[in-house]
Amino acid sequence: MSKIVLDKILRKFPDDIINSHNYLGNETVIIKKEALLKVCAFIKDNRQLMIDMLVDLTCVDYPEEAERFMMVYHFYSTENKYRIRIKASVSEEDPYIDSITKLWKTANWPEREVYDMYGVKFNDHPDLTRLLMYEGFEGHPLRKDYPITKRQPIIGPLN
Amino acid sequence: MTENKITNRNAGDLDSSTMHINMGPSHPAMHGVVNIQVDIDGENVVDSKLEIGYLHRGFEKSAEYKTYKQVIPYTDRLNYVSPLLNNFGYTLAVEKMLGIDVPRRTKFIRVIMGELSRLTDHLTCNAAVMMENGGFTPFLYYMKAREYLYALIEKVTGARLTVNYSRIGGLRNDLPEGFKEETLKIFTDVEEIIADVDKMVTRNRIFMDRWKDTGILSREDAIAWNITGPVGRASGFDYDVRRDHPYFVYDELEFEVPIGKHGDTYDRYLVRDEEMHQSISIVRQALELIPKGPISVDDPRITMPSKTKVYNSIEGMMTNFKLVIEGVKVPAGEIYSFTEAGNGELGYYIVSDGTGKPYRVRLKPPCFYNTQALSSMIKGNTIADIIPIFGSINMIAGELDR
Amino acid sequence: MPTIKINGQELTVENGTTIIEAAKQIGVDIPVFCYHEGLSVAANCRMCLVEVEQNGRKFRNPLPACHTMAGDGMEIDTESPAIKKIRKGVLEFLLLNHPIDCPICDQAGECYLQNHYMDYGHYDSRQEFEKVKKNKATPIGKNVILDSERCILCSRCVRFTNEITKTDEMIISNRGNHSEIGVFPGKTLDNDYSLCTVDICPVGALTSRDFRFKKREWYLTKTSSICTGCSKGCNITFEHEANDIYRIKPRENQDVNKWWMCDYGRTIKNEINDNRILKSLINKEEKTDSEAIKSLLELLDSYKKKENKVAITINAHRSTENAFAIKYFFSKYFNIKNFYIGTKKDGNSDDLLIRSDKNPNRKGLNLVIGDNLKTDLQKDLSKYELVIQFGSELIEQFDESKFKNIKNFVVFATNKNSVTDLANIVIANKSTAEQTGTFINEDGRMQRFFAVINNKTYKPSINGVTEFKNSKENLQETYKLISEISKLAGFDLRFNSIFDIMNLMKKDLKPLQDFKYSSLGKNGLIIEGL
Repeated sequence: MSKIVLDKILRKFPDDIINSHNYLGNETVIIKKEALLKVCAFIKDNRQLMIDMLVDLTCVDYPEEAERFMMVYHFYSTENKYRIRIKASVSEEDPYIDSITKLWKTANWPEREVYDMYGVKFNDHPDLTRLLMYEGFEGHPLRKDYPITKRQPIIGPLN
Repeated sequence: MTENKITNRNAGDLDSSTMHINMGPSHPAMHGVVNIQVDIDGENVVDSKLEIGYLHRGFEKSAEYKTYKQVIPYTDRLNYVSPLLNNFGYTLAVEKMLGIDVPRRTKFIRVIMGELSRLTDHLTCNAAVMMENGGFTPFLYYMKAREYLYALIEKVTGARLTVNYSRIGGLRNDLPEGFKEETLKIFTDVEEIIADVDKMVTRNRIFMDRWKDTGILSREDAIAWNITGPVGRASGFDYDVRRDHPYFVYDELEFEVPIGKHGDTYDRYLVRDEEMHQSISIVRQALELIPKGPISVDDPRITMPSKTKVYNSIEGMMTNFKLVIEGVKVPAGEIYSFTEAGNGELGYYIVSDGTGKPYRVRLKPPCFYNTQALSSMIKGNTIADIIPIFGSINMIAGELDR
Repeated sequence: MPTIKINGQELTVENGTTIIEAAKQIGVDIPVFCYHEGLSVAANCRMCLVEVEQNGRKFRNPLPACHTMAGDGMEIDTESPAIKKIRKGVLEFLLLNHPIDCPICDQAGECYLQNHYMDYGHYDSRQEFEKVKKNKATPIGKNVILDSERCILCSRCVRFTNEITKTDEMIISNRGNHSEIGVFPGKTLDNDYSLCTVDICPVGALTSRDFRFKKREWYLTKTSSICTGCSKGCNITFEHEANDIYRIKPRENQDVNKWWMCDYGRTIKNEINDNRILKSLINKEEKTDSEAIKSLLELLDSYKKKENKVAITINAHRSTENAFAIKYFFSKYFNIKNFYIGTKKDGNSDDLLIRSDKNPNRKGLNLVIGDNLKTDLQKDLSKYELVIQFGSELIEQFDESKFKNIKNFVVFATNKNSVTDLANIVIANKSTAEQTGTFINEDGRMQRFFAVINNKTYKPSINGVTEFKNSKENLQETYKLISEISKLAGFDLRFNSIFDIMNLMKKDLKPLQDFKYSSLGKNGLIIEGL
């Protein structure tokens, strides 16, 4: 149903696309992380697509791949009811990616949560601090090599 | 270390600087545990910052170590006032990945039980908002109505909150005898209670003064902050997953979606109130149309064999062994599947690697995005307004922090 | 170069490619029992049958995909209804006499019969007679146990002992449904690769005596690593749970060890599990890591102007990154110039995988330390008053009588043995398996190994939770200990991960100038210019 979004992106940015698929009816495109802001601005401003809502923003960890973290963004158009998923991979040696808070202000908290849980850092984020974990927490819990029963040094009250 | 001041003023300003106070995390009006740090100037809120994460229990991490069936009890504890809606959203996502379609009776039962859960969610939210504004009587009335519903849910699933009712490919058990008559009887009582409270509260001068024109959220802001559900609909954002992307049998049932105009706390109360009536109407229609039949799909990849086969043949032994140990093997891939929960679009993004355990389960929590907009909603209002505004966005800590 | 179509998808393959290899290239899975890529084709299980049509003419019978060469114009169907029925039939025949052993069989969870039945079977048994009984649980060598009832006569073990090890120990005797696998009369299965037969057996007929009844397969976490037994650097997988490593299996690497590994490499897990140093010691008393490091720093300070009396030995079992971190830190900040390599003495070799050089990273140390690397510590021992040894392996340069006379002997140790009994200061650190890094094998191939992470640091008990008795949770990596020494000495050098070390290595070492970890790939990378 949202094939038009996929076609438009494939036609406009042919060099930045790594892969795309339509598994189970979810249109997905995998792009290079440098092209993220370009593609997001394009789908937001294009008059035919009008993708105005960022539905969700998250990350998946593949520890034995070359680029370890895969950022996943879901978008929705309230007018035309199109859905698209954009993925961009980030490596562990260079864990920086652009923040999209300038385009969608709702990306603020999800990006803080991805930083908290995975350690991916966002350029130009207004306040990149831990969201769900307390300050003084060591490590990034949702990574695959963080043991599920690991203990943390317990800290006392601030004063 | 958090700074003591969120907004920095010049030292040369003659007027006094703002005061920084903490509301929470242990506060009678904070639903669950949340810390709101406000900068106030007199009584008006200048700026605020929220600190969340007090109820983080690691749902997404735990789900990576369990089979698909073992994740279902974890989903109960997310939005714990409407656990059935979370269950059904999760099993719908896994069933889509497996490519199976549940029997028709199951779809009707899921709609009925889901709407009962939505009723308990809206009853709790409206009751809490009214109680925090001083109306203890309507709160208790709604609690009585909720008790009828919880007793009914307990008759079907065995528990009030930790229901664990849905299964991949069906349900745990069928509806008991006499369910239809009992539900219709309860609905007359519940509707009477809602009508009584309506008379007490909806045109009441006190509540209208406190709720009208506070916590305004415009339609553009609702879309920009990704707010769906009753909060978004009260701001004029006309989006309901049941009507726009129907699942189960919602396309065969008739219901209306109430839309607000002003986006203030009063509109959010009214939208939830009307949605309760719509839920009751949906359940009444579904109880008329529900067919007889099996409740679980009969797929050998998913159903367990009988014990005679297990103990007497190697084939039965292997099936039982693999289904318990490895779980249902879901083909590799990913899906984003969404349903309408009590607070908005509840999404599950599941990544599978072909084995019986999910590789990544991400819950898109509607409360999370609703609560993120709180800072902009309480700006310019007084401290006394924070309580009804915060109550009306229905933040459930279990879903916010997972 | 024939062009064929598999399930509607067209591809061109080399001459002599079989259908099963062509299908693997495009990701089509064909179930097998007797086919193994490293062995010759037997085609006796008939599970891989596919329907073939060539130039408009359909072959009358389905053909085995493992043995049929792809011919030009072939159209192959692997999912037709007839093929699905054939697979059910093959499974039904194989399972007629198969014992109901799943609860007590070691192979449950990784058994080909279980997996193929769950994917392609789903039929109900029609058997109404008794199953044939054979011998159960008979040891046929010092490592392997045979259970004849479970065998499906795929003959993989027979072909392995004929073609790979060329020792001809396994045979098939009798006929009909009394056929069974066994050893040639008078022989036992005791070649150097006997546990590979356990790996390739698709069912629980051949099982390992060492692993028997120890752990179920689904509890085991699998981590890719490199064997430290000799300089071949075979790719292995550690299978571990909680505090222990239960099993080691080989990983496929066509450039190094193909699909096999030797039996000695499977015993390296004993060193990692048992007899570990868990707390640092000063003169045999337990102290914290920082106290041990402080006393090491005091020693180093006392030799400030006499660096020629200090020697550092790095055992050739340390990873390339750790070795560089040690050399960089001690040569730059403490001005130490005497670096020695500690090696295990040479042993046997054969023409398959075993190499005589029993050190995994000799070439890595040569690269990292360069020309100053000295090899004969035992000759120069009398010159030194402080010897710091990184690693507690029993190296050939260690002579107990001579090392007793060193004034100060510091060891960064993993295991308790005669080396640590002699040392004044013992600093506990993680073993190579628990760290991540790279080794360079004898051909100059750099391969990465990943850390064995313990996912459970405590276990539930009646009073709450208890730590595992010999929990290795608090041990530190070698580069973290170097950072700790640097911090306590007041320097600002810190290594937070191997990526920090590699950034420095790229500047200092010419062969690694343009190196990136992602270029290692699955098979490792030959480093030029060593």
